[in-house]
Amino acid sequence: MSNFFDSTRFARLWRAHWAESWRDYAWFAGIMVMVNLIIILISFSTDTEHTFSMFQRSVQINWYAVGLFVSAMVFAGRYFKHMVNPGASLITLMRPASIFEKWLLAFVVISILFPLVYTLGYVLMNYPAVQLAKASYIAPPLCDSCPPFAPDFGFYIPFITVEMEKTSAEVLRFFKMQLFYVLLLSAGQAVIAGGTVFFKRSPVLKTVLILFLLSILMAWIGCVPQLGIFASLNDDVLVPQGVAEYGLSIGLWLGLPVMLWTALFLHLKEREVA
Amino acid sequence: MKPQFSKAGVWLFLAAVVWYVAGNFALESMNKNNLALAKSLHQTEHHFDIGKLESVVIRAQNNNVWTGGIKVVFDPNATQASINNENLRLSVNGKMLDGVLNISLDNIETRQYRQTSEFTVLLPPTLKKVKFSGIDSVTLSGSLPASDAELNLEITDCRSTVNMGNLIVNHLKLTSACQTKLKKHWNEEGFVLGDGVQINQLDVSMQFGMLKFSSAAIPKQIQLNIGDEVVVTGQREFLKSVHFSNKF
Repeated sequence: MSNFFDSTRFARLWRAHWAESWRDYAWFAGIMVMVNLIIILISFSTDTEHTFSMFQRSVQINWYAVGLFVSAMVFAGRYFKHMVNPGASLITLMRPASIFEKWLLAFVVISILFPLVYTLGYVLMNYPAVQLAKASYIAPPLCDSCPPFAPDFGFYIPFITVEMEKTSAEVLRFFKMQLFYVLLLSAGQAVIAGGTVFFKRSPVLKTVLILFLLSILMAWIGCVPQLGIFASLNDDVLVPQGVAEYGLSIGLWLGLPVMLWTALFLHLKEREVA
Repeated sequence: MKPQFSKAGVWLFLAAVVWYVAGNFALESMNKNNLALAKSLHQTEHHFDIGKLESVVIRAQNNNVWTGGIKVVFDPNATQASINNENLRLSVNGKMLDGVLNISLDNIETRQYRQTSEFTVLLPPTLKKVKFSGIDSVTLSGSLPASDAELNLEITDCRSTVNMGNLIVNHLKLTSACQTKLKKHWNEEGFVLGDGVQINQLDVSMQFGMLKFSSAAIPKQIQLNIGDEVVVTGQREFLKSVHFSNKF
């Protein structure tokens, strides 16, 4: 049995964690379902002209992205909530598992399983709503010489649905934007989770305060986020992106979550030792 | 446990902050170089010798073309139509067709640079008609000095707002082909006659939309052939001088 990672021990840790936490997760999911349902109902009831712009593809994407980001941050902040209580934190930290296994469990649950479950829930709830909006849509009458207005009720599933009428360059661009979103989400989750492990008292408040102060510092020094290869609309026409820009963009936006998740691992190690 | 190791997580977090700052500054520098290159490749000036043509159409090729900051200026000294396009995301195509100069605007697939997007169309005073199709917002100014000068401005859809300021012309005709009342939260299609508009005769024909008049100089003749849904805004002196009709 390796001290660093053992699959049997990891499975036991996973079962123990699930046994303790499934009720919390069920409540969390229930609240998110309620919020989403309320938003859907409000969108239907306030759209008296039956244009249902809230259910069109571009708005779907925004709704999915904002909902996932906010809920993922809250979830990451709550994962280590027992660390605030000395008794509960002792039990958790003394569990027969290596630090790496505890860290890996946190990473899998926060960064992989939560977004997947959120996406599944989003699809199950929003797909029927979008189909209903599409069936109920009434096109506004326009004049003969007006440019045609085509509503887009294509259902959005991240990384899966592709608008068939787009060029391959546009499809690639959109893929890169989604990839950037995933990296940013992971980095955000790592910061929040890391803060809740590092700070012993009022961890979420202190983490948010640190982030706020950092954002002030960034604004003061004039550091504006540059998305590099992830931001461009289509670079192949006028200014092709070079290898240097690819390397710098990937290095920056992939390196950030890697460093922050590693910092979480080190925070966990310190707490266990302390 | 060594104290240095116990704070390794903090050091790594600080390293991530430094990584973030350094990476962004490096990318920003790269972006500036790319912007300079894109500007050097972009065609800014376009000129069209229109001869005796009297009509111009300014059209957006599709709904996704950004057309928010277009300026149209009637220059009494101009002898040809000129376009100054500093917007790296906009391409211009001009064609003479059946006695009409068609100016088409389309998107250039390029980076989304943060910069002002100047787009100015300079027109000679010999033109009599300008049509806007698929254009969100136009600022129109200038002078047609001939004493019998007549200018027709036409909106072909329910999308455009034409803002006029510092415009001098004898006879101004405003027409909108919009056939429906559409709700817009950020814009209303129609015509706005602001400060510095000096016209002797104003004719308006529109079924929907809005007409605002705030210039101090009231035209001598004002004929508004407008539908019941048109919203007219103006000061008392303006409204007193208006002749209304509804032939729709």
